[in-house]
Amino acid sequence: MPQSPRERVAQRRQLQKQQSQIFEELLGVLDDLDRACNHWQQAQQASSIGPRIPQRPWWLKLWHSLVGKNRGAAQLKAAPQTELSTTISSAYDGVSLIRQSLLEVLQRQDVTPIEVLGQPFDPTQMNAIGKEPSSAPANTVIKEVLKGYLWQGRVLRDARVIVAAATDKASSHLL
Amino acid sequence: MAIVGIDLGTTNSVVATLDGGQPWVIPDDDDELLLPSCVGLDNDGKLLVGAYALRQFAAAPERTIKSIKRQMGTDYQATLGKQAYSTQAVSAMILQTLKHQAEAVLEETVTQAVITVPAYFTDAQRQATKEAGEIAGLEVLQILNEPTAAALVFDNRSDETETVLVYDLGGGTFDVSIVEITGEVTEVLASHGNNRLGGDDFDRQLQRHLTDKFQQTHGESVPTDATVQARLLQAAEQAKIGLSDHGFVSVREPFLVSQGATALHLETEIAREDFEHLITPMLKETLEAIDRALGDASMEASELDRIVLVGGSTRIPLVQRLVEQHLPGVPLSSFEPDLCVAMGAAVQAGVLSGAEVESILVDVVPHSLGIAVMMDAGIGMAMPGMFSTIIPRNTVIPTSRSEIYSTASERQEKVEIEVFQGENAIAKENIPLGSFMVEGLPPKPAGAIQVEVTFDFDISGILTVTATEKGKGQKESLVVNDAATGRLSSAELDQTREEIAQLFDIEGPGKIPSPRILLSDD
Repeated sequence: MPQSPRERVAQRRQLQKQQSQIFEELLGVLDDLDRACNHWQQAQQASSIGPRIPQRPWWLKLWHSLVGKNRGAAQLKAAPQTELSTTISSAYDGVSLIRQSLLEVLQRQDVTPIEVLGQPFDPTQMNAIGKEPSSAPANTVIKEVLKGYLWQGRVLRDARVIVAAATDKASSHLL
Repeated sequence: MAIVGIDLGTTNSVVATLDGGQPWVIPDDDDELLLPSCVGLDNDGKLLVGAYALRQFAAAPERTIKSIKRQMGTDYQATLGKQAYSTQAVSAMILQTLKHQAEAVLEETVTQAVITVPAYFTDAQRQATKEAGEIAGLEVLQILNEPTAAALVFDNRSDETETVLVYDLGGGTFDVSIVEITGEVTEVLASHGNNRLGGDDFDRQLQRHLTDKFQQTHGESVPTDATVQARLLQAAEQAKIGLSDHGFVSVREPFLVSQGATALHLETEIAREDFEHLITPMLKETLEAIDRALGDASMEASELDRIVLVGGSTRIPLVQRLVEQHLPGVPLSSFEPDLCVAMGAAVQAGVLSGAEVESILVDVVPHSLGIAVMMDAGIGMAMPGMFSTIIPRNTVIPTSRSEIYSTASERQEKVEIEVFQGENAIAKENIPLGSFMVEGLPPKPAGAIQVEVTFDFDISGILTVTATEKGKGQKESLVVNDAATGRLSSAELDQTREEIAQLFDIEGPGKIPSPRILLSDD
């Protein structure tokens, strides 16, 4: 006896629910790893720039080089800075590796991230949570708040994004 | 040719039909049952309806329309891009999408529909809704009141007059209606509400609570940028959903704020009690609306035959509890609160088309399920062996409910969870279903250790009882395979209630004040 539409839909929904539930839970972990990576990457950039040392006048530099003043202090200061950079760098590398492993596991199951940055806003895959002034063309994604994923070509989770607002110039041009 | 029932809502719309005399909701291509009542044009001028339109609202409000239902029956012209549309035309876009959705699944043409409207809609608003249906290519068999549709899910029309209070708390709107149903005649006696109150407000309250927690932990304000606020709002929404089933939920938002090399995380626990405290003032407003509706209908609560809960926010246990306490003794029904209006419309569509309509069968827990505890028996002192209900009788299954209990004595090392089924306030007078121990509790003062007891009752009638000590997370469980379910029609439900009410004093089981429940030590 052929299935009724109700039975067919119920069967499909049950199957989809079972399969997608585990992916959705794993995406939460992947999101946290993304955030950790972003944080450590920013920290790495900040530490590589290091504290700014004010420029001293040439005569003071000469004087210090003659008397040897501050040479030791400078070396002492440099050591913890390098140590911090190494720590941050290793934390970033470690978290990135874990993130990469999880991403590969998901990719083997046909779960792939949706690329959004710099793309025109696409409501079939993205969810706009706001717009901000930007030099980018209006309606272009300028920030990714939450990464979106596809599973077997269907949207498993839409990407949460912020898009570029139309500038006054652009608006008046449109009008 | 199929006939459908449509709930054309302010926030979401739903389409349902009959299969074998029973209503079911038709999903879209993405298996979603709710279609956001939102219409828009994308960047290329292509029409978007539903989730796609809603997703672009924050980016392009000038070419997106939400909540058109609030303007029905007026001369309002909604602008989409450069073109203006009547409210009927915008609603027709939603209705046509639902029509196509149904046709794709049913693989046949849909030409007739019953569409629901709020009880308070004027003739002009009803006429506009009908016109919207016609524009969408539907012959509108009937414009049906939403409360009537909800009531139909629980009762096939009988000749006896029934007075029903429908409490509808959705994502963004609230209304309460009192309707009198006699056969095919429905009279709306009174209706009140607030079209700016709903679950979204609860999310925002919880979001503020999380913001406060972050500030308390780190001594820093939460940045106002959209990314951080969006994360907090999403965490709040998930916590709200979790708290309908659990006494506590954990919120973990790692790397919420970065300050150079330092990351600030949010890790906190929200107790159901905290959430209830946050939303109680808003819910009290809904109780006042019930009183106003009763006043307008010149009725006493005792004259009501039934309460029907509608709208996703009625899944919050406090909502059900407050309504029950406010209208004591009136039987309360709740089944698929997001979908039941559309299902009722499908039932009515079936009746009008001459299809055979069966009464809705719902699997329910025929007897209350709970545990033995020490608690105030209403005489001002705590008594051991009292029955604390966790799943009340007639709750629709599958269901998961939990309650928090605390230790009764000083340095209590273990607690015994004794599970019973029945309605008697004395636990031992009910049917024992089994027991188990949670041992090795840390030595603490009485009341200092909290244990969450969760009852999961699945569709096969299997009850799983889990007790989790909150501090160390020790967990023990028990599976009861023979906790039989009842499959009752709504009429049988009422009859059973009446029989039980006659056997017991109506003020009897379940009415014992329990300000602080304590787990008894064996």
